[in-house]
Amino acid sequence: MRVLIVDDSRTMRMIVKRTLRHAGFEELEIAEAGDGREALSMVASFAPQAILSDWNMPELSGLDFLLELRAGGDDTTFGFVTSEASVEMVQRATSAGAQFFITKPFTVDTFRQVLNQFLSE
Amino acid sequence: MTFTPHIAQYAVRSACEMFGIVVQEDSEGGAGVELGAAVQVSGAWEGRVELWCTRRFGLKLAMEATGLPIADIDDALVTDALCELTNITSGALKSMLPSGCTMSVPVAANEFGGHVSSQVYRFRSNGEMVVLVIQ
Repeated sequence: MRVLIVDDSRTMRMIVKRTLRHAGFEELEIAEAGDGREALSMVASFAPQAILSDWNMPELSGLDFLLELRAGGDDTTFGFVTSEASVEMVQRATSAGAQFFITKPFTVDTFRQVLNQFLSE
Repeated sequence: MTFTPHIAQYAVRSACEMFGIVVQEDSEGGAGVELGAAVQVSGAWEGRVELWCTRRFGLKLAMEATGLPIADIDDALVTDALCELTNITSGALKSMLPSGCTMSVPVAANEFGGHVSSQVYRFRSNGEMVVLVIQ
């Protein structure tokens, strides 16, 4: 399964990749993008089957990335992995078409519980 | 808004744990902290959250987070790791604030000290100092 990780922090992208492995998702083909703008072009070239995106990023935020994606008719599985998680943000994300919301700091168990239904082939 | 010590300590401890680092509260000090990162919070509460640490802590943070050997850790990666730690800490603190507050992208900070009317919380990990400043 192809998964795109979008986060402006290289450190966090590495933590997300490692947590995915530790959660049992070891067979994933993973690509990375540093912001929403880069992620949009990666969607075209990499054709991910699932996207894990940060919310607060320069250039194009995670929410705006999702909105542009959906506006273009793309229904790739999409979820946020973010340090902010107000009720309002979760509602906006869900309304925009996000399927899951993981709050940092997260654990391996959180990844396993939330992502199992989306990343298991 | 004044955050209780319990909330501030929880925010830093839980963020560090995700990076594989255990910190303990400390009551004094600050000498040696030279790396900093900051997040600006806007909205119903206007403030700034800063994390400061020693260079050795920054290196340890980047190594634990990335799994890379020290030879592969450069200054940019240390700054990135500290910025992300500050981002997560700020997110935990923001969850205690009124709705509608927004956070900036974390940036590197300069010049520790001179914080007027600030809340300062000190931590230590294997002898290395970490300081949370909320102003």
